[in-house]
Amino acid sequence: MTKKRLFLLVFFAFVIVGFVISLQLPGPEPFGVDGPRKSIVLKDSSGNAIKDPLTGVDFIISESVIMQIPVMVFLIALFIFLGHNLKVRPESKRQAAAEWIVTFFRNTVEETMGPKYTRGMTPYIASLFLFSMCSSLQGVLGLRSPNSDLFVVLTWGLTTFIMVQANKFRTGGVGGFLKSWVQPVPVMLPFNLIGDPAAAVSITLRQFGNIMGGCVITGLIYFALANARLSVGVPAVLSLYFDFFAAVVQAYIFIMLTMCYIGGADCTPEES
Amino acid sequence: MDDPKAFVLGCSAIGAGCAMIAGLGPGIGEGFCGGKAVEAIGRQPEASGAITRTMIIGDAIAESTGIYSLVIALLLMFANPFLSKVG
Repeated sequence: MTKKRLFLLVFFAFVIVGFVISLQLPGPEPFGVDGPRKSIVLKDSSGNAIKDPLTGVDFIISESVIMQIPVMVFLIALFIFLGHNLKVRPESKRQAAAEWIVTFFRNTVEETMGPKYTRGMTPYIASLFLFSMCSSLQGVLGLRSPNSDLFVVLTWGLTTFIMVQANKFRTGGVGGFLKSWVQPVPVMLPFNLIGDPAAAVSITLRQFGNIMGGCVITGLIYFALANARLSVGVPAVLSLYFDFFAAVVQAYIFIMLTMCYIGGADCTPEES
Repeated sequence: MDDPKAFVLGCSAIGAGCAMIAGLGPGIGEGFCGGKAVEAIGRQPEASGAITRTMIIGDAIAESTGIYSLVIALLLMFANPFLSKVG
């Protein structure tokens, strides 16, 4: 009981101190959302920006690219830590956690795509999920999430599109690939031609819109709280939904739809 | 009224607001989806895991149109393509 009271006391002390401090700070700047900043512009030896020979646009390493590096480093470090020194009979909690993660993804892939794909697809699906989730969760830290850049997510959407086409080739050969465009009747050809790229665009926009929308809404809420002189000490509960829930659910949905599209593009000829 | 930029900006703001009317559809659809999932869990509580998973995926797909309108609204607010046309 006393511990609880002490905790509440410290919490309210924080809120009051934060409120007093925020009264002293200068007022906030007007709200705005800009795209990812241009972090590094590549230059040649004479100091001119290097241009893409095809489009004439500057080569730029944007903020989104740089913000992906901490995610990669974090995931690599985490899985080297989880995966080293494994034993046949698990002794440590570390190995139990590693096995739980692997089993979870293996089961997900097996349930959605069937046992044929389990071995091949699990690594890709697992890394896609974890990378997408950790990138989105960067928004919690106040950083700009790479997923709120359309082109980061578009890359994953295009990867899915290419894998769908590759799976048609792999399972059906050239004949099966060509035949898949005129399924179930030849009249459907234009719809199939539109449908496949549209699926890639659709999963891209879903992820981008959710993360970007969450980014804008939490930004507006923080801006409003700062305007009301409550910028310090007021817990933003909505961040729980827009940052945590949306990040995990969108990553899950992205891998689910990717698996459905790739598994659905199976053109194995039917044995009669 | 002699500043075309102000007119374009105002119309874009109205357009962004109108685009978000599309939020109605996904709201109704997802509510329907959630209600049916509750019914299904009530009838078959042991399958609640699979039902919840399917419901979340269904929600996400029903959400697409709402997300498209959100993208359009964000585009009009933060990356307005019409502003460059009036110079």
